[in-house]
Amino acid sequence: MDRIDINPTMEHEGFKIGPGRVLPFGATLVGGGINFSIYTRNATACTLVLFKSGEESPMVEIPFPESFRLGDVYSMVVFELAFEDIEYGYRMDGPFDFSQGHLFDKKRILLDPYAKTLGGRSVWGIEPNWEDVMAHRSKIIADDYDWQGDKPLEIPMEDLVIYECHVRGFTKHMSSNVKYAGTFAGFRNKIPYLKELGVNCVELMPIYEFDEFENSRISPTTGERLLNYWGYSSVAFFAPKAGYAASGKNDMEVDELKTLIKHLHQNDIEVILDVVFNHTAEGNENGPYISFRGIDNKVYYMLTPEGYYYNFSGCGNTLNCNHPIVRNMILDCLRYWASEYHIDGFRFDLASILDRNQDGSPMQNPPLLENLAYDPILSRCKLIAEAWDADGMYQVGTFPSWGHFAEWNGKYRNSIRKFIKGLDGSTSDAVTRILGSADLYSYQGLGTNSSINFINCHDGFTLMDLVSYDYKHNDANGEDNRDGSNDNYSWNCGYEGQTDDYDVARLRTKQIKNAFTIIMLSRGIPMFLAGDEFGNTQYGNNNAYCQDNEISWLDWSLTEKNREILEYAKNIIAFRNNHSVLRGNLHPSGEDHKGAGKPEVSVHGTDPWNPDYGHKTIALMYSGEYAKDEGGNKDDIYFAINTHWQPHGFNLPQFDDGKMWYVAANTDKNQGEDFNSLGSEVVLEKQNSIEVGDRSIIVLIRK
Amino acid sequence: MGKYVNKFDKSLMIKLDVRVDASLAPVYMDELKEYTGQGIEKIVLFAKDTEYLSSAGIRVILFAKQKISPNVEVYLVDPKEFVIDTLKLTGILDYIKVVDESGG
Repeated sequence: MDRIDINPTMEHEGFKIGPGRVLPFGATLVGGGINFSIYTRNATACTLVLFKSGEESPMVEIPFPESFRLGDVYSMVVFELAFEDIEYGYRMDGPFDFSQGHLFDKKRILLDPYAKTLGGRSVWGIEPNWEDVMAHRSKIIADDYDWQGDKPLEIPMEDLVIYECHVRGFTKHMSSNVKYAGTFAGFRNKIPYLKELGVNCVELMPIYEFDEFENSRISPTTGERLLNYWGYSSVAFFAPKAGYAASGKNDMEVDELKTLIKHLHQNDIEVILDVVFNHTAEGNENGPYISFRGIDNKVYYMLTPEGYYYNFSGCGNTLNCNHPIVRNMILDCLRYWASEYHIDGFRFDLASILDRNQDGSPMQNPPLLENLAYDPILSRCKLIAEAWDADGMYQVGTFPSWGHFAEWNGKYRNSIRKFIKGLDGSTSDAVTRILGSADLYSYQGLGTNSSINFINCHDGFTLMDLVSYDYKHNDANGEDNRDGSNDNYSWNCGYEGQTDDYDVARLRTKQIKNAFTIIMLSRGIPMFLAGDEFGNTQYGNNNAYCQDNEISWLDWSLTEKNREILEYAKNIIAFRNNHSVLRGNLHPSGEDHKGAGKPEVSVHGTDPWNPDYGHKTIALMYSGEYAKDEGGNKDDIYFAINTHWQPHGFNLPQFDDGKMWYVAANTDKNQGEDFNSLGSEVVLEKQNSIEVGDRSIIVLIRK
Repeated sequence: MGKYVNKFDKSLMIKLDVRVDASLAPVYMDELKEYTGQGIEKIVLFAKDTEYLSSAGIRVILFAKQKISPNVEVYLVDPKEFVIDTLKLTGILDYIKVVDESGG
C-alpha cells in the first residue's frame, strides 16, 4: 500500500522533490523515488548532489529546503530517479574555524556515511582520476536478497576454529586455479578446501570500502606500485569493497558477497568481519575530504582543544566512537551487517580506541561497548576485541567485555612463541596460556571463550617465516626496514631464510607441527593465519600491508610441496573437533570435582604429577570425564612437550581403570607416522613411559 | 498477452530484453503478477538477445520464481556468457537450469 505522505511538493531544475523521512539514514528506495537522509549538527546548509553514473560533473545539485530539516537531519525524496544509474554526495556549508573543530567547505562533495555501495572504484587497482570532483561516490542498491532460509549459524564460541584471511590474497595467486581470482566469487571456489581443512569460521580482513591507492608509492626495490593492500582504513563502513567483487564493475558486489556468505553457511562455516572503527581514511589535518571531515568534523573525530586530531590509531585521526551520534552510527552499521549480510561476528581493530572518551581519556564504562555487548540484534554475534591501540593503551585481560567481548590474546601469542623457540623461563607462562589464561579472564567471571589463541595473524610473520627468520626483512615496503615489529620471538632453525638444507627444513616442519599442536590443544578459541597450514611464506616480510603481489598472495603450490604440514594441520584440527574435552568455556580446574579419579586438568613433568617449570619439558593431561559433550568422546588426553634440543623421557601417569595409552600424534615423526586418526590410534608398547624427541610433542589418548 | 510474459499450458514464457535493468524491471513484475496462483510449473526465460542484466534485472528472475511458485522449475534458454557469469556470481545460477534452444 503506497504511503500518502511521499509526494512531490516542489520542483528543482526539473526534478520533483518532497520532504523525506528522517529514518533510516542514507538513501532508501521508496514508492516512486529515493529518500535521502543525512545528519549534521554543525552545518548551516546542505545540498544533495546527483551524478549520472560515471559522469564527471553533477547532473543536478538540489539544496535542502530549510523546511526539509528536522532537528539535525536533512531529508528529501527525489522522485523518478533511475536508482541504478545515479551516484550522489552532499555539500555542507558551515563555519571553517580550525580551533573550534569546524572544517566545513562547501566546495567539497562528500560521501554519505551510510552509503551502502560506492561507485567510482569498482575494479581493484585501476588508477583513479585524481582530478575527480568526488573520488568515492555513494550509490544506491536494492538490498533485498534470496537467502533461501539462511541465518547466522550461532556455532558455540568454544567450538570455533578461526581462519584469518585476506579476500584478495586468498585466491589471487595463479596457483589458486580459480576463476575470478582475488574476489568474493573466487573465494567460494575454496570452500571445499576449507571444509576439508576443518575450520568452521573465516575471519575476513577488511572487506568494506577502502582506498587501495591511499599512500600509494613506488617500491624502491621492485619499482612496482605499492598499494594499501590490507585495507585498514575505512572509506565507507556500510559498503562492501566493489574491487573485491568480480561483478563489481556491474555494481553487484552486494549480491556476490551475500552469495559467498550463503555458501559458507551452507558448509557450516561462519563469517567474522574485521571492522575498523578506530579511524578513517581521511588521515590527519592534511588528509583528503572524503566524508566525515566535511559533514561534521567536530562530531566525528576526537579533537584536541586546539582542534587537531588525536591520533590514537597511528593513522592520522581517531573516530570519536563514544560520541552519541558516532556510537549510533557504529551500532547501525554492525546491525546492518548482522541483519542484511548474516554476519556471524566482528573483530574490532585497535578496539581500545572504542574505550576512549571524546577527549581521548580511557573510560571506565564506555557506553559504546556496553551498547554493543547488550544489543538485541548483535546478541548472538561473536564480538572480538584487538584490545590495544597505537598509543600504548593495552587491555588484554582488562577490556570492558560485559561478558560478551572476547579478546585477541596477544599474551598467548608471545608466550607460546617464546616457548616453542625454547627460551629459558618460558614454560610456566606457556602452561597458563595453554590452559586458557585464567590469570587474565577468570577474575572477571569470564571463561576461556574470552581468549582468542593465536600464534600468527596478519600482523607479523607467517608461521613458516616465524621458524625461518630471526629478523624481519621489510625492505620491499620502502621504509628502510623500520616498519614492522622487532619483537617476534622467532627463530630461523639454523639458517636465515629459504634453504635446501634438509635438517633445517625438517626442524622447521617439526616446529610448525608443534605450533599447530599446542594451539589446537589449548583451552580457548584457536585462530590461525590462512596459509600457515601449508607453510606459506612472505619471505621474511612481517608487515606486508602494502604488498599486493606474490609476497602476500597465498601460494597454493605449497599445498603439494608442504603436504606433510597440511596433512598434519588437518589431522590436529580434526583431533580438536573430535575431542570436546579440549573445548568448553570454563577454565579447567586442577581439582577432581566430579570424582572421576583424576583432576579435570593436571600438569606433569618428566615425572607424573610433578611439573618442573624451570625446565623445557612439560606435560598436560585433560581428563575425558570433563568433556563438555555428554555423549561424546571421553578419552583422556595427555600431551608431552619437549622444547629442549635433546630427547627426553616422560614417565606417564598410571591408573587402575583398565584403560590404556595410545599414540595420537608425534611431531618428531615424518608424514604417515606423525598422526593416527580417530579410531586408528596405536597402543603404546610401554604403558608407563615415552621418549619425546628433541623439540617435539607427543599426544596420547587414554581409552 | 503481455509484451514480455505469456502463458502456455502450465509454463510461463518470458522474453528477456536486450537490457533488463531498473527501468524495465517494473514492467516485467507487473506482467508477472498476473500469473500468480495459476498453477505454473515451469518458467522459461528466453535470453538469446540479452546483453545486460542489472541487479534489478536479476531480481526479475527471482521475483518470477518466488511469486509464481517457490517449487517452479526455471530454465534459461541460450544465455550469453556475460549473463551466465552474472547469474553465477550472484548465486542465481544455483537454482536455474541453463539450456539451449533445443532444450539440451
